[in-house]
Amino acid sequence: MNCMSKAAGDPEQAINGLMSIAQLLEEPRLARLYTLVLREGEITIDDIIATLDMPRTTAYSDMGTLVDLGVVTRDESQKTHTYSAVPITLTADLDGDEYTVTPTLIEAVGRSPQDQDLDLLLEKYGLGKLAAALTYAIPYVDGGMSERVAARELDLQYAFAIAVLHALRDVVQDMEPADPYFDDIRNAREQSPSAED
Amino acid sequence: MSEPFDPLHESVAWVADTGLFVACGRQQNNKYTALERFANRNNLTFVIPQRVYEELGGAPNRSTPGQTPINSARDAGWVQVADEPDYANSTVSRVMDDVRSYIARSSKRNEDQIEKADTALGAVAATLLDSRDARFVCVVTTDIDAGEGAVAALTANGFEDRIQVIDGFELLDKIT
Repeated sequence: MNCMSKAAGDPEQAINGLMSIAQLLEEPRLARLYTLVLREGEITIDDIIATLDMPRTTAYSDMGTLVDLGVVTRDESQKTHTYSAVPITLTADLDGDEYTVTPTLIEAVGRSPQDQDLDLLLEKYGLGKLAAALTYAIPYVDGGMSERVAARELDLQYAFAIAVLHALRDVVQDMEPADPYFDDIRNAREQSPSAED
Repeated sequence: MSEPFDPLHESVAWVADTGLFVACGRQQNNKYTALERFANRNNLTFVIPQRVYEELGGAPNRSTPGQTPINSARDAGWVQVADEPDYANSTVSRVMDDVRSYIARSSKRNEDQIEKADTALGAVAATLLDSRDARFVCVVTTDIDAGEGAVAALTANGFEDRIQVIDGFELLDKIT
């Protein structure tokens, strides 16, 4: 398991990183904040407040949490502090079932409270389904998979599956330039369902 | 995308896919009124395959497609559900076979993993052209593979320059 580029080889950091990523995936508000910082490169509290339209106290407290989790660093050398994100990736391998979590999945989680289709997907089917849907959204967006084929293999109601693919299309388009581990995300085009098991 | 004919000409039938209506509802302040206005202004009707109608109607209530006003669009006349494609017609069935091969190739799947229903857009377009109900067909979809597959299949079966595909996302951008 490889957590956070800087932590390679250090077991303590690896497990801490695992827990940090798990927390981001559990808390959409933190997830959204993390990927905003990642996309911006460097950002101040004022810019965060203006972009996300959130109360100042919440912004300070959440940024403090992200710093404590080790996924964001705070530069205090200037009068106005700036934040930047540590790009994170986590490859889970459970008895051969492998998945690499990258900031793109974190962004999808972060959008869910504002997106009824992602919200419904998470509520009814859970994070695993969202992660699976992302593996279909990637070839769908680059023209490597038919929307209908992706929708059927996702095994959701058809029109709902298409709505999920559209929601993730926006996520993929926004995150591909910002996510340094984007190419590590599994691509469903390469895994035909009949070839499994 | 090259346009072999003017899609707004009166002899063109517009065939729309599920994704167009989903994309419409997902935009901020959903854009169904813009789509309806576009249809009315250009005096066109979106013909949808039967399965598209069923898919939109069967979506969970809290999802975007579950809130698509497809029935009122149908009642108002700017959406029309197509008759079942004429599967016994050899041209239609050849087009469907070709669409199936195209989608299988482009999605890297075996042909037996592509279902007849995946070829519905091409089948409806082939039926309209072969029966001479339409001189030209414009397919509006957010499924680029399926759209391009329909164009390739119809072109290969004697309807070259009589079909084109319009990207549903681009159309919505343009009309809103």
